[in-house]
Amino acid sequence: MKCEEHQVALQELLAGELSEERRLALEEHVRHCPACERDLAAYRVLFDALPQVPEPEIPARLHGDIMLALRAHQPAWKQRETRTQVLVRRTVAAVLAAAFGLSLSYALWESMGRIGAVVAHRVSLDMVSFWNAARDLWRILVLLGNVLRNLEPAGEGLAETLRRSAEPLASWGPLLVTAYTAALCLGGYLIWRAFRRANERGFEHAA
Amino acid sequence: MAAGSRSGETISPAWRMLPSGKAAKGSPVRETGDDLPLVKRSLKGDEQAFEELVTRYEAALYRLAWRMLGNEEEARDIVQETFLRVFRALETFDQSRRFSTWILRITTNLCIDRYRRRKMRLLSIDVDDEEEDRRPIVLVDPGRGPEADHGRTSLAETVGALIERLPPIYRAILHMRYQQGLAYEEIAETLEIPLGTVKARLHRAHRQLKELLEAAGIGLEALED
Repeated sequence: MKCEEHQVALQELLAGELSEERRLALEEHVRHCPACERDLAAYRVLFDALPQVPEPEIPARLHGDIMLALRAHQPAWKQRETRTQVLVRRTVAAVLAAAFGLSLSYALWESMGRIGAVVAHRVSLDMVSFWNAARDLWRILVLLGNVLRNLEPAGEGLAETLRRSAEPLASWGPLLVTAYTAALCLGGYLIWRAFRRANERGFEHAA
Repeated sequence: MAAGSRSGETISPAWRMLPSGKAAKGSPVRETGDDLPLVKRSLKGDEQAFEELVTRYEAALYRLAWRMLGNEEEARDIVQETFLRVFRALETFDQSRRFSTWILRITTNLCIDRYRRRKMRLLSIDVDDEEEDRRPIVLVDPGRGPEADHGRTSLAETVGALIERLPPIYRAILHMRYQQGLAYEEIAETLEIPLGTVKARLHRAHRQLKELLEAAGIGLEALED
């Protein structure tokens, strides 16, 4: 029932791949061959459908997963900070710098007023208070270290020290405020950097 | 199965009038003129350049792998593996050739390997393409229920389901021709088979699909319109 020899030619006809001569000959044949006429129509239906065969949706996580797999195998690529991360880091740095700068300016401004007769006396007093405060800060840090090891007993000591440290706070001069702010800023910055470094290193070992 | 989003389009029959070069458009693969600078930058360690290559090709590779293997999970594996291999072998890539051809070849080879392993686990049959060319196409079981519920499924969807019954190499050729719009020469280059073989397989695939359609009574209905 089928014209075996014409199956390919029928397809080529529909695809426009026949020479003029062959095309005419085939069309002539089709006119007289019901099997070929039927096959041609069937191929036409098929060829219409083929370009429209449905394609799958691309999974949303495809790109992310590919890049993740690549980076796991490629520690030489540094994990790029996203824009957000850069922005946050710079904002925090700016805030810390501003806090330091402001407190320093305030301290200088205040101190300028006192650079008169009492400057030496005040400075020495401030220095004493500063060293006391620094020592308290040191104690707090030590206690914090203990806290990490055994929480309960140290908690009480910490509360006690904090309370005691809070008392002289009121009498601190602007110089101490500056020093404290600077210490806090520096500490915060170092913690931030350590955090980032740990992040990168852990990341590299992800493979 | 994730339904496609393009089956509603009408493709004009004008494509038939094109010379044997290009076929209809689908998810076409880009020309490589654009790719070479990215390849060069990637070789220098530029991650962003390589990521751009990933972005360009991930969709096309995914669709090809999905077409050849029939499921999302394996398609994702294949695409991921493809880019890993591309990255590792980038230095060996001959920059005078087409990048698109190279990356597609990696994907198709991975799919064929995966398919063979899958089939050998099930049937211990040696799947040899050359052997197959001498016999009628052996249909494969896609592992799903019967295809057409004619009322609900469009013709294009039915054809899609029938394509899954062809062995993967035929699926690849059909996909490259109709969805990616590759010319015969490009398909031949990608699959590393002669041009004549591409055409012969395409014709066999068409014929098999036509007969499957007729057997399912679908062609007849369309004809009667």
